Amino acid sequence: MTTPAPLPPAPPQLSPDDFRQRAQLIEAEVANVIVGQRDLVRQVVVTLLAGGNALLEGVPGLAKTTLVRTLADVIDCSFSRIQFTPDLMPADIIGTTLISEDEQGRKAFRFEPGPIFANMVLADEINRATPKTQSALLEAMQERTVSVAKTIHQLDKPFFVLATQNPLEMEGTYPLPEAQLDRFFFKVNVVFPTAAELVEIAQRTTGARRPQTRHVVNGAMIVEMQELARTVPIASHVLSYAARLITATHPGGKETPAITRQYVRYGASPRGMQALILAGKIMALLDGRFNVAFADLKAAALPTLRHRVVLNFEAQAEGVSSDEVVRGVLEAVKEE
Amino acid sequence: MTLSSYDTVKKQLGPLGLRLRLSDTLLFASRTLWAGAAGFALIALAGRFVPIVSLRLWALAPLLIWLLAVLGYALLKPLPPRRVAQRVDILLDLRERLSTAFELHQREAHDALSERQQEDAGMIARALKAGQLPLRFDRTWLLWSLAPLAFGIALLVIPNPQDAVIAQRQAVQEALVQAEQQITQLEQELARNADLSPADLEQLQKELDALRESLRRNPGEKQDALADLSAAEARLQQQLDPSADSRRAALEQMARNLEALSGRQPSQRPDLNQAAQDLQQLADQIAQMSEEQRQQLADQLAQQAAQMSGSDQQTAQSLANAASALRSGDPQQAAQQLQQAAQNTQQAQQDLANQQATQQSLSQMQSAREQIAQAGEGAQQARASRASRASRASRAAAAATRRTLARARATMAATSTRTARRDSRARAAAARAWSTSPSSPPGRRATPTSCRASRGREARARPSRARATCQGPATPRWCPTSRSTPSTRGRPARPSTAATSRRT
Repeated sequence: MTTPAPLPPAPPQLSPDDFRQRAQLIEAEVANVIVGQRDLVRQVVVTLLAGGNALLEGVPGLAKTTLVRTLADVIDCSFSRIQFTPDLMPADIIGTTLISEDEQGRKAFRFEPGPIFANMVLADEINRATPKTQSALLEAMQERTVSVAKTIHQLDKPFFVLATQNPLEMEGTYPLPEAQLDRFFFKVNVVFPTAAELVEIAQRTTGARRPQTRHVVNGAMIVEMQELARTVPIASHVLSYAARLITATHPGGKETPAITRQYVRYGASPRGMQALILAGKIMALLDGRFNVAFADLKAAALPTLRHRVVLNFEAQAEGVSSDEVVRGVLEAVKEE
Repeated sequence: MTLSSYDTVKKQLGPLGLRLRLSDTLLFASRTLWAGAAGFALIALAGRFVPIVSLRLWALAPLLIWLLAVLGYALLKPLPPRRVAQRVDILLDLRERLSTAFELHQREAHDALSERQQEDAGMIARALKAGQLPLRFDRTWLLWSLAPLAFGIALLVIPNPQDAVIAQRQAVQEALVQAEQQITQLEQELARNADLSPADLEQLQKELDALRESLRRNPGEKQDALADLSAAEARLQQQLDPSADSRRAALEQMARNLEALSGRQPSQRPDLNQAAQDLQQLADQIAQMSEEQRQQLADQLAQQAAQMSGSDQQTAQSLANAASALRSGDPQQAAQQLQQAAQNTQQAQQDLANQQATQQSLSQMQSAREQIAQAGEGAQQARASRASRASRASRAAAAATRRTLARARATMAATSTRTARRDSRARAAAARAWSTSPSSPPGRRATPTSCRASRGREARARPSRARATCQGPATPRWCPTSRSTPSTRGRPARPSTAATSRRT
């Protein structure tokens, strides 16, 4: 008796054009609330469609939290917000087991899910919590499960963690460990808006009318889009380029540029390459193409690799940022 | 999967690949031209110091090699369609559409997105034109290559001192070939000469063969060729007998005497073989001769022997012995000695023929040596004659200038003499007039010496003016060049010493 061959996965019903249309809808709806920040919105949407988690870094007041809340409003799915503080405990995130009494008076343990059990989780100021609490997110972010008292609880799809952190107020904070950073699909730097954008922000937020949003997609649609994104073809030489990019972030690589050798302690992980390619696929679809191009990988390189490149002491002393290193790598690695 | 889309992509990749190949070749050519140009310049430069025959062709060789390399690169460089697709994607910013479609076709991917991708690539490919691909070349390298090219061309265009050396070598080479031909011809002539003994002929031919071989190996070096010829000449010179001419003359005289003795008319150039036969015949006839005839023959033979004693001692000795035998009444001995003399004559004939052949060879070598020595001197002589013509012309011009100056000086001297005579006549007349009427105006009485001297100088320079201003007795006036003071002008001038003495 022979084992039947596994059936190939059913092709997604969604067409690339629908994908693009939905993504544009999401972006347009978010743009009703968020002024400017097109790259920020695009990168958050890409993270969402890739099924990853994003770390938003920026000074206070740049609408990081607003963006996440708006996104939760645009997508019809459950949303929860966790404000990370030093006294926050892991149970406050993942939930806890309580002793409950039923109608007959019988007592039993009952699991009370924490705020992590939502489709979209905002981990606000994540670096203010202790590492123990931060690590409570690890399993959820990577395996989409939560283990409590020997019981593994599956998280609903889609699951999307958006964490924010403030780069200025470092006192009393706990920088995220590399292992946790690697779990973030993108690290997005929230830049300060331009003067024109500030004027627009003032007009929108200080008047009598508040901008309204509506649900344009739901969780199922997001999952469908995530499945389609994974089917985008990529040529072998483009894949090879992605691999060479990752290799070039390591100080001991063959194609390692001088800037990497000088300033990098440890380069990007294979998870970084997966993120790079997946982001490239989504960017290709958003661009109306059906294949990944070098340009897609280049566009995704900074948010994908900046938090995965660990700089050495020399870089920190000289004020060299990981963005500069990634740009150097992009310049050094040839496309052909 | 839409085969047509893939076919469209593949069809378009053909001309795009050709265009890429052309572009690559141009880039390669522009980046490597410096090597060919450097080789070209180096050979052109070497040609200024070393004589190189067909220098321009040799100088073009590196460029030809470069051209072949460029052609080889254009024809042989591998450029598969997949690579063409990748490069076209990058060059025309097609976002990897063509290369992905090509790969998807090879992978036989049939999912919806792959098919859409290939359709998209086919649509893009349909609009592509080969001319859209830019032709690239490296301008910087190309400009750097122009410097050695220009340098090499300038070196080839400027007159090369090595050209004269090459011309001389070619002339020497031609003279060597001619000399070889002459030696071959000489050998053939010697082979036809029946008078030469085989041993002598072989020795001569060996000598000539060796010389010809050394000349053939010579690449055009004049000094080497002349040295070879001189060495061969010296060897042949050793084989020459210095007394051969006197020996020949004596033998020929003997032959004439024998002809007369046998009643024939003596010839201008008697044959020595015939002389030997005559001697043999004489030896045979001795037995039939009378005593008186024998004595007469003995006298003639003794006389002949005396004549030949200085040039051919063996024959002279045989003849003298024959004469003695005849005088002592031994005809048999006399006949034997005459036969011996006949054999000696025949041997002498061979020796003389060998000497003649050697002499002929020597003269041939001398002729060849002169030809080789003069070979290549034409260009130098032309340059020397041009230089000497220029030198002669400059000397002639200098001589003409000197003659003109001499004529001018002579003319001036003659004019000065005439002026001096007229002056002296005028002075004499003035002295006479002054002596007869002392109250005459001072200007009419005499001319101061200083004025005369200056007037003479002025006359040489401006004879007509000098005459008009100072010489005319009808319009006497004080010489403008006189250094007399104004007070002197007012007084009557003192007559000159000459005038005074004449008056006295």
